[in-house]
Amino acid sequence: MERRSFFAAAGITALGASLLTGKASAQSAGKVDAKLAELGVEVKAAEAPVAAYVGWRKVGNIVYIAGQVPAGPDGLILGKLGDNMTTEQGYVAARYCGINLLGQLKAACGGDLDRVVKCVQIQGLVNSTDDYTEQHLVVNGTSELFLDIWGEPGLAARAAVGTNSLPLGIACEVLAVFEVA
Amino acid sequence: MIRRALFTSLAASILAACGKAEDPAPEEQAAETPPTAMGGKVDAKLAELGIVLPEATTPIAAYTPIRIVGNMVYIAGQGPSDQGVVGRDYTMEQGYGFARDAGISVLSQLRKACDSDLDRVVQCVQLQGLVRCTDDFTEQHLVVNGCSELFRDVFGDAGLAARAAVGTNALPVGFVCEVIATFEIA
Repeated sequence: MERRSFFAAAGITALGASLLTGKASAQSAGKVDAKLAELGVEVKAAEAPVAAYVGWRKVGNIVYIAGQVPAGPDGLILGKLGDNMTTEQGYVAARYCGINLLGQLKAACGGDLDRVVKCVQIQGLVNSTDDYTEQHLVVNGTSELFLDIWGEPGLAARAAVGTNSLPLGIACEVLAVFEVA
Repeated sequence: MIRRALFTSLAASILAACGKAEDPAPEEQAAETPPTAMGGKVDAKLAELGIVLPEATTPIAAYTPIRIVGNMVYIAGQGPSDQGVVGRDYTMEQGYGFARDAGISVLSQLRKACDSDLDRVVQCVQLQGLVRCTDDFTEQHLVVNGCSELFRDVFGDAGLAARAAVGTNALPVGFVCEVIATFEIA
């Protein structure tokens, strides 16, 4: 029963995505979709992996999402905090990582973000110079997006970390674990 | 309410990061039970090791220190109160001490997650230890032992985790190291 409704939901979502009509998505929009619309956040279809991995894995009611990149409307946000980017610019980049996490999460939920129970864990990696120390404020770009969407359940047991290098030279990368119903 | 608590926490943690103890927020204080009132096996072990767990620190940004899903406890990254770089400002042995301090912070959070009863801990599942170090420092694993050996001393073999030790050039607030842990509890 549960499986059947899951596949039915997945089918409807796939149909909606293939039609690419705003009308179809508006009809199936849930509370989180309405919140995203209110925040002006557009969640795109999950990006395909750029190497040998999957975008997400589900074990029981836990969804593990692969590290997401800061892909914004003008492409990937590249840079290094403390060198050619400010903390505020890093925050924006982390917010795009968060939006891309939502794309993967939505796919993992069969298109229904209302199934999210809470964000469990976030790890935010920030491309940093040796003396840059505001990684936690950069990763707030992701955390505050999730806080705005879900309230307290959007907060995670989190770790913000600096690194000297990230794939393709991106400014940050964020990994997340969610509990879903 | 949540936002207010966050900002209160932010100020407290910045002070804490600077080495100054700060009273916890009132709501958190209310949730604490004096450990001496119900000392279990793990509390006895901690006493034997001469470890007094401090109050769990509060977040320095938009996150929660603990998430519980089923019988799994995820603990946010914990750091010591010291800043610097191993291989430049500190030796491996000093780094070991800082990783142990970070481990003590983890135990404070874990105790809170267990409603003050650390005897509920089944095992440490996963541990990631990040060490802020110079480019040519290669003993991250020995630094992170500071945390792992603490957990082993406290919980026995169940305190050992599937672990990863990693070097990095930069950490929040300039922390020397940061430890991310996941535990199973009963």
